[in-house]
Amino acid sequence: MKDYTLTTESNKSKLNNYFIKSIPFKGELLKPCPGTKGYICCGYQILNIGANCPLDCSYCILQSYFKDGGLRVFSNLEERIGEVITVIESTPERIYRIGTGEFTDSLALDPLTKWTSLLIPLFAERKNLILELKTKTTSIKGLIDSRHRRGIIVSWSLNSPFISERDESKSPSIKARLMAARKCQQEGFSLGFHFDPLVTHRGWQDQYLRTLELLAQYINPKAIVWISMGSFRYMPELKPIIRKRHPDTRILDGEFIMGLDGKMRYFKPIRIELYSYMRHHFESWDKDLGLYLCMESNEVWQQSMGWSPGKTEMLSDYLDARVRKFFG
Amino acid sequence: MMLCDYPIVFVAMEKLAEGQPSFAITFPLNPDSLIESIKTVGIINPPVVRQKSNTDGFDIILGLRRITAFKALGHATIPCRVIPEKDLSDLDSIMLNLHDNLTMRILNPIEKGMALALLLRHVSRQDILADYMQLLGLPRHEPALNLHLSIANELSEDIKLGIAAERISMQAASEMLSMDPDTRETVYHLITYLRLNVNYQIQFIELLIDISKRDSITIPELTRNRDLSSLINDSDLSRPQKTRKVMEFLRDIRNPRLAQAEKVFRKALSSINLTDGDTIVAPSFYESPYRELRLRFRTRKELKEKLQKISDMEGIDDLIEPWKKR
Repeated sequence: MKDYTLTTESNKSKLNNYFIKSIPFKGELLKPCPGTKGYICCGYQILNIGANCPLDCSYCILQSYFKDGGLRVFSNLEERIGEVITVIESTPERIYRIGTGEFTDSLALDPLTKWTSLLIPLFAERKNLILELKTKTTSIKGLIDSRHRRGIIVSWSLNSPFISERDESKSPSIKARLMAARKCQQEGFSLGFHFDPLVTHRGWQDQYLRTLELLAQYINPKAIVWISMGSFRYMPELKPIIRKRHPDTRILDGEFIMGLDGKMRYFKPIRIELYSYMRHHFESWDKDLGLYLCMESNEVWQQSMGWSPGKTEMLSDYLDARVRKFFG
Repeated sequence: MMLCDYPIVFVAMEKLAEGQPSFAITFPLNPDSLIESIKTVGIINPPVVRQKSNTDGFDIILGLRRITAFKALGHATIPCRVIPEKDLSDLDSIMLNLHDNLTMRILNPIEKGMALALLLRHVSRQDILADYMQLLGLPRHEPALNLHLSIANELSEDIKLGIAAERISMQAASEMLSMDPDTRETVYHLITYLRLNVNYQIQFIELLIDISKRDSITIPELTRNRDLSSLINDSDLSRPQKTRKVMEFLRDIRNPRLAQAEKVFRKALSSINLTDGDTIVAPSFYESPYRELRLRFRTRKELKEKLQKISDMEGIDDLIEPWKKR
């Protein structure tokens, strides 16, 4: 595999050039999401395909992980992917929900790396596995060209138009993302959406409603496997990086407290307010969207969602049940 | 030749390039303590100067404070060890000065910045990082180099004095570099006036930045807030009381809903009127769902009565979810 230069076109029609280094990955290819102390995790598995992201969102934790800003793709993915398949085949009774969008955008580099053409044929059609490709881009050609649909969930990260324009400025607009999602839906893919991070800002209720209206306009809710919500949270050391790299952002304006895991997160009643508001509007659109919270406490679940899985294992069961419902 | 081989000569004050102390790294240059010493015992170590080859002037290499003190005492000449320019390059002069200072004392951050700025005229950044940072007791990385150069070059004399005297921490100084000069002065005067310790300095600056960004006002405008000004100027408060109240005031503005919840909690706790040292403790920021009850009791009967009484109290819900009461 060679090194690349990627040119992307943002929603403001700025061309961004990135140099991408191709290196072998030496760590564990498949790892469980580490979760966070004191909060309920979804029990996801992370497949490491690359590191860092060209979208450079203001709130992104990757800014503190990869300070040199360089993009890395793993050149030995093809050689090592068999290790993952072996693990999955050795425990057929277990459902693996695997995602590639933890340390990079799942599809942003796909036009160059062709990850989808490697992963989809290997992962699709397996009974105990789903591959979730999380993105903010419209790079869906590799997906559409694939003949596989089963076991693949294409997910988009969504936010309010205000946050999308200011803090996700190198990503396509919300409308463009939803048009890509609609195309995938029309092509037979199941969908997921992630409202993470939810951010309080002036007029956030109206702003998020605009996104929900667009969602309802473009997407048939029956193809949605799940929608997650998570409020903005950050490690304290990320704050000065955000202040320096994104001086005009409003994402640090809210009332943050130090959570049980040492990360900064909104004061509890604010999180409850955010989720309750979103839940109310989601449910008035459709009652069966597989709504769940990312890294939240039992108490916040109860007060905002009206129920709680209680612990990580139970949230995993809930999401596994969604997988079975969609893919049998 | 060794330094001690060069002659000691009386040099006229006006021949010393005092206005261009190109090799001086002493900050502040306060010669007052030396004046008394020189008055009593005279100059013990003569300053070292470099005789210019193309003029009859001299560069001061070591002893700027001694020369300044001697001049303040009204002397027209001063005994100096004189080295011809051909024997001592600029870089040698800097190194001589640096080693002379480093053997006697620990340089303050401003002096380290001055030394690095001098070195940068003759040595590449890479060489400074590789060879000189450690000599100055600094980590060998660009941010440390840039920070020390910036604090020596960009900050006002007042703020530099604050840093040299350890009234302003390096972390606070680093934050202040990103501010405009007016804001820096405002922040500096408040920090020194309130005598904030290192932890408070950073919290104070962070609160000011957060509030000013959120409310789209400048930090000087924020500090002119009527309530804040009256706290700062309240002559009935001691300095520690003032500091505590100013910090509380800023935290409350920054986190109004948390502040309101804390107020409700305190009020509810006082209204239920626990006795005997019994109390209810809130978790940090109310994030954990648990409240802690601390009870003193002697008998089962007393325990039962206390628990019953507390759980029946009217204000107990405000202790559990104080943010719900508006």
